[in-house]
Order: sequence, then structure tokens, then C-alpha cells
Amino acid sequence: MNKSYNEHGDSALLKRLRELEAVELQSGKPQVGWIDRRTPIELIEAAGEMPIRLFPSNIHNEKLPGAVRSDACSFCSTLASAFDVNHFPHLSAILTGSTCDQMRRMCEEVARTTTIPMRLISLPRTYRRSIDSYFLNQIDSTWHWIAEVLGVPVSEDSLAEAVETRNRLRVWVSELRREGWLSTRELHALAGSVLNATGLLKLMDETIQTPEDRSGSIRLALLGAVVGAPVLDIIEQSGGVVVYDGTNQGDSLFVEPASPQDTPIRMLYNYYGMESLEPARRPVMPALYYLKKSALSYGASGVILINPTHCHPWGLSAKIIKEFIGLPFLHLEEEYGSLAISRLSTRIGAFTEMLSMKRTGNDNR
Amino acid sequence: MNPRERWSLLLIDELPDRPPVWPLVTSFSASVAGIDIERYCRDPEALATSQIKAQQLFGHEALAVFTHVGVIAEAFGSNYIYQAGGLPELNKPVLESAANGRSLRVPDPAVDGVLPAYIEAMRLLYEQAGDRLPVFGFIPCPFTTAAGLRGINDLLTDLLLDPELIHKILGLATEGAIKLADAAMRAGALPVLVDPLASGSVISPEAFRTFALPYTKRIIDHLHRYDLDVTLHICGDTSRMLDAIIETGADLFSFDKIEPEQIIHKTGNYIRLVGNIPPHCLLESSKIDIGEATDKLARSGILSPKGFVISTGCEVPLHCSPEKLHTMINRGKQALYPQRSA
Amino acid sequence: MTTDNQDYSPRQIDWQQWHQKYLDLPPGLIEETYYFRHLGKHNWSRYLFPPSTFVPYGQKLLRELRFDNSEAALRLWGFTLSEWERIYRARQNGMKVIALMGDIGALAPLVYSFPGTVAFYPDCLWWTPFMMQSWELFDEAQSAGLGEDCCFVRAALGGFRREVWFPRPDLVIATTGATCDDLAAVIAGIENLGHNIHYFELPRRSNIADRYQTGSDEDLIEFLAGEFQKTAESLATVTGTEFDEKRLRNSIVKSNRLRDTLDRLRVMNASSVLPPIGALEMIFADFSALSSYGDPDEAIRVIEELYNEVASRTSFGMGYPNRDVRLVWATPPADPSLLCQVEAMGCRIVGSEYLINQSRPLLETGSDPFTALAKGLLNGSLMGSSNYRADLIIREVENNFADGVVISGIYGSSHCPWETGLIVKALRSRNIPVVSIDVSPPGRKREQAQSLNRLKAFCEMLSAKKSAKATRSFERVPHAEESAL
Repeated sequence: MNKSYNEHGDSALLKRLRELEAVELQSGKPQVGWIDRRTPIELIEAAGEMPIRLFPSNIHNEKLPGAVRSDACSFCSTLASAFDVNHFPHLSAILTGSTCDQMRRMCEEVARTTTIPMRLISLPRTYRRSIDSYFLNQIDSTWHWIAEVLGVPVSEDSLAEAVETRNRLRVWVSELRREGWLSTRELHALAGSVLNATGLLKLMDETIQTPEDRSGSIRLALLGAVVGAPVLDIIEQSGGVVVYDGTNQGDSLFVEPASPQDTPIRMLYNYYGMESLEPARRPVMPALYYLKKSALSYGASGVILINPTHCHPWGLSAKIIKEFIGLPFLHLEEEYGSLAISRLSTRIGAFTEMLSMKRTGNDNR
Repeated sequence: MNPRERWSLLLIDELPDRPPVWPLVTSFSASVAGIDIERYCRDPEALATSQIKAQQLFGHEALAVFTHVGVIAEAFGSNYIYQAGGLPELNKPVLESAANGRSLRVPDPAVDGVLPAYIEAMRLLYEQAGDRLPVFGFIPCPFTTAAGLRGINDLLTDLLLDPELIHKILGLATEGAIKLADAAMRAGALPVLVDPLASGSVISPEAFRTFALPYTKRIIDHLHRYDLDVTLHICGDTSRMLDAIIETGADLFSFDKIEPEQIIHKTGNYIRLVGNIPPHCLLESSKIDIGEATDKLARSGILSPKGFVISTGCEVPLHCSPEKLHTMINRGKQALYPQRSA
Repeated sequence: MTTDNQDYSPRQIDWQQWHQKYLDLPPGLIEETYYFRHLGKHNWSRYLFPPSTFVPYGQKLLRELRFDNSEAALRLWGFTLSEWERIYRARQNGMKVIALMGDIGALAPLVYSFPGTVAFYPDCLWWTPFMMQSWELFDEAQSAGLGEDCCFVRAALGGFRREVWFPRPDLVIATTGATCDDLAAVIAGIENLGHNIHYFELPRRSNIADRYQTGSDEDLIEFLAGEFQKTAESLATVTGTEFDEKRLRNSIVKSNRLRDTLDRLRVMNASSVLPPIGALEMIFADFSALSSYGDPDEAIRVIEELYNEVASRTSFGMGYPNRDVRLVWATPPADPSLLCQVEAMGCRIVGSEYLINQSRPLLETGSDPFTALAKGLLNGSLMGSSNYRADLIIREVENNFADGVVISGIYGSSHCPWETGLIVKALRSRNIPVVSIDVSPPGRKREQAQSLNRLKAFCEMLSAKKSAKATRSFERVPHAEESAL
């Protein structure tokens, strides 16, 4: 079946996803918020809770939370102010993995302004060759903490099932992405969905359609922390298509796990603690190699990196990422929550036009 | 690596990426800036502006404050004539009569002669560029100053006939030099002691040992108390006084009419060397010859154990061809040390 | 105090005055003051030189600072300012050069347990643009992608790229985790420069709402002890010397001697009636606890001499007059002239939280040395929450009877935007006056003037408050004649 879109530009998958999510949100199921891509979402799914990705996309950062200054990362400060205005009234708990210094300070700020139980899981910033019991215990104790906070039993079977299901989801999503069957817009929706992995697998089974022919579009890799839907709109309106998404809401959430482990906790540690490749970790080269390899294997002819203002892991790495990847590169820094749409349109438009001319020139040769 | 960094490594016995390239661009900078020499000598802003403009144009690796060798003598009271198109010349030494010596007062760099302007020029250069470029303040050595106080002919005669008088004069000149060097240091400049009259082209090695070495050494000892690196510049032929020059304790020696291999062989383990493209080459030779001469100098210089600065044997002439100076500097910058210890 | 005609009364003098005063020092004293004594006496290892020695080599800011007039202070200055040359001399004499990044004092005792090593912190290059009044290192960092959105520590990346400010290290030990993101960016920037880098994993303390803790997190201590052990293995490989526990214990003892002296110095400085030494001397003394400026034995001599000087002044009731307002300073000012400026406003710095808290407490000597180092590291200023840091500052205020707090932050850094407001709030909730400024980069005189205006207003307010309080106290005490009525 060819991909079709409703009047809002939603594909069948997106339309059905929204319907299912609306039902899920009405179900009264307890909600657990999660923030960063290194959050073991399986812990939430194993507890039978609804994972809520905390993207305060419709809150404008008019008032900074507490005493946070304007030179704080705009994503982190917007998220913290979201709690200030009780933007997430239904959360039973909040969970996140550790990445950068500002992220952990944001968590402290949130913990100060809300009574919602919160856990920041300490994960290694370096790449370990072997499992460290310290970090393994972090995940294990978080699992028990969630169970205690939510009043659910600790079940290794349900955790194993959640891990296995999510891994199946990752495998399938990454396969579909390679084949071009899943758009980046759909990918973002899956990444931030309130449905668990089982629900998402079922959804995809029912709604996946033949990919649209986007061969005329400029193929791009998108990097950065988090980007809002308007950015994808702008890219598409400018004649581009994001074929690889290396942001914290894209393909990097659906990387196939590399090495199986004997217990679900070790699987989680392996995946989130050891294999997760991102610019906040040290050394930074493994992440850069991975981003470059991915961008090239997906056939990207250019890279757009968008980071929230004052986001250090992406913003301060932009130059080395650009030099390492070696493709035409556009770096944009935007205030999270108040995108300057016309400026973005101008710059992205100019970038895609340049790539288009380059492609035409190559074709002519 | 900027020039300041390059020099800093050299001065702590480290090899930088390459030898610094520093032709002695002094009053030549006035011609570059279109400023007349008298103004260059008397107006600190004019001097500083000239130096900055020249450095921006040619890219050599230090700034220099130097007008003429008689600045201390002039401050003592000797009369110098400033003439259009040329450097000041001694007209009337203050010690024409030996008896005058009794009333001589050591000049204060803050108030006497052109010294205040001299020091102010150093300070201005340091303020503007001292983070990127070393500023060298040229201090006439006592023997050269003595020539300005007594007149060169009388001085040379007195070396034989009235050495006691000369020692007295040299003592005063030394105090004057120490004060000026001190003021230079406090203006942010590194001292270059300049002693053209003590050259082997003028006096014998024995005379150097008796009348130049002890007094130059006193200045260097004073500056070494503050751990400053001191450059000694003596133009002309100094090949017969190299042992004595090492004994002065100078940290760098700017040489002129000696073959680089010879001086490196004799002194390269003891002192850093600065030199020595002949200034007249920058007037007379072709660019090709200058390039080859610089290459040859660099090939020898990078082997000097304590370090080397590619320079000219003496001041770049007032009417030097800019293209030729460019050639020398650009070729000098291509000399790389094969291996850095860092 | 060894010269006959030395002025014994404590004063702050400028570099020109030190230039003159220096001539009064006996030459023998200068000859006998040298570092790396195990290498014998050399011309290059003397370091008792005045600030004017360093001015012609580009250290412009020295002309604006005010220095204590004691020989002990001179020795501290000479020792501090000669550090970069010392690292090169170490290499020239066959010592292994170990660059430490991010741990700020915790790893140096381990490095020094290996003979023939010298440790230094490239992070401390952040002072250099200010000392030289130069943007060269910042420009170099900018060309590598670290611009004004990164804290001044980006000068360290400039230093690595220039390959001038220190010799190429034999090993870089880079701490990652509970450090600021700016330093993490610097560490990323040096990766492709071909350095031999050992990464030290430093998890933050795990309790989000934690208050000040001293070694209560046992799992973390065990983990960190393991990290120190792994680091020891890397050091053994680089130095070609096996790790020796006894040497580590001795190194810890030595580090403790320095830390203890510094602690007593701080207490004495704060508790003296008159400030016996300046804030500049104190901050550079404090920072000696990080890597001993490359020579632990000499650092001990320098700090002990400083301590003796301060003790002597205190016992005679001597110090700088007209410094009534007592301040705690939080976050080290990259521009050290700010300390002099504030002192000139009638203040004295009686306490500090310079982000180097891990270099302060004594390390345990009775237990496993790796565990001792790990416990020491738990005191790190950035390891815990912002509340922890706020508590450290409050403790400094209370212990030292401070009248107020100055926080000098950096716009664009990772921890300042989050913790500054919280610290201000915490202080104000305890009625502790506080002012927060951002340190302006070199050359931005107008920006700096604004900060100085705010500081001046703050100091005047505190001074007026103190005077009013003193007046009220006076008025409450009845005069003798009145009480007799």
C-alpha cells in the first residue's frame, strides 16, 4: 500500500499513532516522565507504566525557572520551567540517564520545584571495556526504586520481556529506516511515543506503507540535541529530506544492540552504559565515527546540526563534528521553545539550494 | 606559535618550531612609516607607530627601540646634531676637556635628554603588542657611550695615555646604562646592549678585556639579578674576542662579520646567537642572492646548540629595499628545527 | 625576614616598588632559593625574582596588581610565576610530564608517588589571557570551535594547540563526569592532537537533593578507588616504574603537610584582627595544593615560609589597615586583579570557595591509600549538587564571620547559570548579603567597570551596615556617668 497522508500531512502511521496515544493518555495508566536518550525506557515499560518523553515543546521559555540564568542551555531551562508551571501534572515519577553537567543541574532544579519522585541514573561518560558493578548497580537500584515508587512488583520476567520487545522494535525500526520506509517525522513520533514497544510494534505492523519517492529531495543528516517538528517542516519545504537523524529523538534511539548479555539488567547496562555513542562521552571520537558512518551509509549529502542555545555537548563540539564528517555542514543554534522560523527557513533554504546546485553540477559532469 | 612564544621557548633552552626571524629593523621603520628621522628619535609615538607599521608589513618577530648609540651620552650632555635624512651625529662631546668629568651627573631616564621619549616608546610598544611580540630596548654599552662623552679619537688616545680617566668615564657610563636598562625593563622591554665601538674593527681584544668587558659585565650582572635575558650586539669583526664576549655573561650575542660556522663552533654551546645577513646585502645584492644567503645562514643556524635567531649583522639600512627585506624574512621563516624536545 | 633594612610593617606594594626593594635582598638568599633541589643548584632553577622580572616577558597584568611586601610573598610569587618554565626544565632533566585535567588536586598525590614525575594542570592556563592581557589563547581555542560560549578554561585548549605553554605531556589524565561541560569540551578538543590520554571516570554523587557529605557513599568510594588504581597502572606504564604503595602513602603524607599548612594559614588569615596577607597571595597559595606548582618539596617550603610570616604578623597584631569588611569569595576570579580592586574598596577576603574543595581536607593515612584518595575526591566542589556548594560557602561565611559574599562567575559556563542563583537564594535566606558578577574577558574595560561599580556599591553598603551596627552597639552601652545616675 502506498503511503498516504491526511489533510494534516500525517501518514497512516502517524494518524493511527495519535489515535492510540489519545486512548492511552485517557486510560488513567500511571505516567513516568523520561528525558534523555540514555534513559532505560524498558524500566518504565516493565513496570507497566506509560513513558512520557519530556519535551516541553509547547511551552515558551518566557520565564526562567527559579534563579536559572539566561545563559543556561535553553532546552534544559525550558524543561525546568515547564515544571515550574506544572506542565506535567500527571507524572508519577521522572527518570533520566546522565549526559552533561547542565542536564544534571536541571534535574536538581526540577527536584527542588516538584515533589514528583525523580531519579538521575549515573552512567559512565567513558567507554568501558567491561561492566562496572558501580554503574550496573545504578540501573539495578533504579529498577527497584521505580517499583517501590510506583508500588509495582519487581519482576525479572517482565523486565526481560520489555528488553526483548524493545530490542525487536529497534531492529525493525532501523531496518525500515535503512530501506526508507519510515520517515523522520514518523521516527520522532515513535521515539517520543507514550505507547510501549509492544504497542508500537503492533502499530507498525498495521500501518507501515511503501515509502514515498523522495529521490528528488536533498538527502540530509540531522544532528543535535532535540529539534522540534517545525524544523522537519522547514527542511521538507526547502526540498530536503532527513534520511539519518542523529539527534536525541531519532535513529540513535533505535540502534540495534550489539552484544547480548545474560541478564536484562546487564543488557540495559550494555546498551545505555557502554554502547551508547554520543558527543557528551569521552573520548568523543567513537561518537564522531558513528555519526559519520551513519550519515554516509544513509546517503546524506549534507549535515544540519541544530543545538539549543548554550547546549555544550553539541554546541561546543560542532566544529570538530563538522571537520570530522567532512560533508557540507550547516550549524544552527536556536533558542529552544522559540524557534526563529523565518531565519531557519532562510538558512536551511540556502543550504539545500547550495546542495542542489552542487548535485546538478555533478550530474552535468 | 606567535613570536613571543617562539622567543620564550628559545630563552629557556627549548627549540621552538623554527628560529625567530628578526632583522634589526630600527630606524629603517621610520622610512617605512614616512616619518623623518628626527621625529623618529624624539617622538615616542612616532617611533612606536613606525615600528608597528614595519612589523605589520614585514612580519619580523620582534620590535626594537633604537635611535642612535649616543642616547646616553646625549643625556649626559654631549651635543648631537639631528640632520635631515640621517641619524644624529656627535657634534660636541661633553668631556672635550678631561676636567669636565668632575661635574658629570648620571642621567635620569625619566627626565634627561631623549631618554624619557625612548622609554615611553618602549612602553607604548609593550602596551600595543607586548603579548604577541617581544620588545627590545637597545642600551648603549659603557665603552660606546664613553666614545660619545669623550669623542672617539680622544677616547682611543686616552686608552693608552690616560686609562684612569677612561675608567672613571666608563664607571659613570655604566651607571647610566644600568639606569636606562632598568627603566627599559620596567617599560616592558628586554635589553639589548649595543657596543659597536668595542668591535674588533676598532679596538684590540686586550683593550676589549680591559675597557669593555668589565663594565658590560656589570650591567649584565645587574640584569641577571632580575633573571633577565640579555642580548649583546657588537657589529664589525669580533672573531678575536669571542672568549671575552662569553665572559660578559650575555645570554644572546648578535654578531656581524664572522662566519656563522666559526662562531657556532666556538661559542654555540655557551650562548644563543643572533645574526648575520650583512646589511649592505639588503642594498646591493639581488633577491636571489639574499634568499640563498639566508638559506645558508639558516642551515648553519639551526645546528647551533643553544639556539639561533636569523637576523642581520647590524641595523637594516635606512634605504633598504623592502622587497629584499621581505625575501630575507620569508626565507628565514622556512627554516624549521628538525625535532623539538617538547 | 633576613635583611637588616627590611621594612617589617605589612604593606601592599606595586611591582615598581618591588623592583626597587628587590635590590635589598642579599644575593646569597637569591642563590639559595631554587626548585628541583634533587637536581642540584642551577642558574635556571633559581626563582626568587620580583614581578618586574616577568613583565618584559609579557605578563602585563602584574603592573596592575598589589603585592605583599614580605620576602615570603616574593618567594610565593616567584615560585608561582616560574611554573611553566619549571615544567620544561623537568622534561629537560628527564622527568615525566603528567598533565592533569578536571580533578583539581585529587590526582597529584598519586602522580608524585612515582619518582621523576612532574604534574601540572593545563586548566590553570585560564589565568594566562588575563595575566598577559591577551586573546591569543582564546583565539586559538576559537579556531577549534570553542568561542565565548565556553568558559575561560578554553584557554587550555589553546595551550595544547600552540604547543608552547608546556611540553608535550607524557600522559594526560582527563577526568570526565562530574566536571563542567566546558572542560569536557576542552578534553574533546585535545583528542585528535595525538596525546596519550587516560580517562578518569568521575560519577557525581548520586543523591539529587544531597547536602554536604563526607565519604558516606561507599559504593562510589570503592569505584573511585578502582579508578585511582587504573590510573596508577597507566602511570606505571608511562614512567616505567612499578607502583609502590609505600611511596603513595609518603606522597599522601607530604600532600597533607601542605594542606595542613594551608588550612592553618587560612584560619590565621581570617581570624587575625588585621588582614596579615593579601587575597592574591592567599589564592595562589591555595592553588599550590593542586599540583604543588610542579615541585612538592619546594611548595612546602614556600607555603611554610608564608605561614611563618603570617604567624609572625598576627602575633604582633600587624596587618593591612582599613580593611573592615569581611568577605567570602566564591568561584576563583580568572582576572586576579578583581581581588586587589575589592581590597582597595576596604575589604578583606576571609574565606573562599574556589572550586578546589577536594584539595583542602586532609587525606586519610590509616587506610588503603587508594580509598583515601577516593574519599578526598568526594569533597570536590562540583561533585555534588549546587546545594552542596551553597553549603560550603555558607560554612565559610559562618566560620569566618564574613559580612558578605562575592560570587565571580563566567557567562556561558555550564555550572554558573544554574548554581549562581541558587547560591544567592540560599545566602539571602540566611540574611547573608551577596553580590554576583561575571568576570569580563581581557580588554573589556567598560564591562569590567560595570562589575566594579556593583562591587563598590556592595562594599560600601556592607561598610555602612557595619558602622551602623557598631554605632548601635556603642549607643546601647550606657556611659559611666549616666549609669551612675
